[in-house]
Amino acid sequence: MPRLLDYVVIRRDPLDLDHTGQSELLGFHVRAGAVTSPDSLPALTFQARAPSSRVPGPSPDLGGRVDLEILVNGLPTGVVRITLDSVRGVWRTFSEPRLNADSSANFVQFRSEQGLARISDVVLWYQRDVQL
Amino acid sequence: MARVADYFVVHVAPFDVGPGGESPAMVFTVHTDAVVDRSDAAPVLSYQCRPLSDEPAALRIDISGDSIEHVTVSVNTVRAMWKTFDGNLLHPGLGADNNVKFRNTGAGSIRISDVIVWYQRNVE
Repeated sequence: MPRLLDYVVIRRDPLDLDHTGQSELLGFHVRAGAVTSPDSLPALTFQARAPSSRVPGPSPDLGGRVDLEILVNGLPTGVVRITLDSVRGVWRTFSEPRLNADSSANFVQFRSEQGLARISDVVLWYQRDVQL
Repeated sequence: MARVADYFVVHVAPFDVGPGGESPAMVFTVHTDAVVDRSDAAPVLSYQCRPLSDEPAALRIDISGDSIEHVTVSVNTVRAMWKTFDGNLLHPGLGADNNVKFRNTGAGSIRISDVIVWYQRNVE
């Protein structure tokens, strides 16, 4: 049974963490056969930038340091410290918790421990065993 | 039928886009069985960029003529970027052309490389 790359787009649109302590919970499903063995760990990727005023046009590039705690299925995967002097691409691999590969949902939670951030383009990359 | 991920390397070598400039329309293809109608299987455009001056660059990215991104990038350091976009912008089929174009409406120049389109397919 081949093991192939897969991904799920969890959220395309931006979400703003407007104040320290705010969190946002996003649900998603992975498909049957998802594996999380040590050589096949999932990777969560997202874009982070400073939140803008809600006017059309490019997001401003202002902002400071933000500490983002990322939880998967309620368990912490660690805190990412980034300086949002410009837009950033961030990814994070994690060995725990395990993903629910049955029909039940998974959840990723972004929580601001310090600072403000706009999160977008959240994608989980993972591997799964596929019956072709 | 299995749904699998696939990708197309659109452009490898670095290229610069100056203020008011734009890249050529870089052509790519996706397979006929590309998934275009599921938001959780939306395609992803990934690329590396690096501003070349103190002035910020303002990138606009088009997929086959439709804008998918408008982002300001500053600070002279390389960074990895990606943008999810609507799968309906893809034209599946190895004979069908898709293209991606970068435009810079900012005051500073920017260098772009390693442009890749990731997408999903339904494989028999």
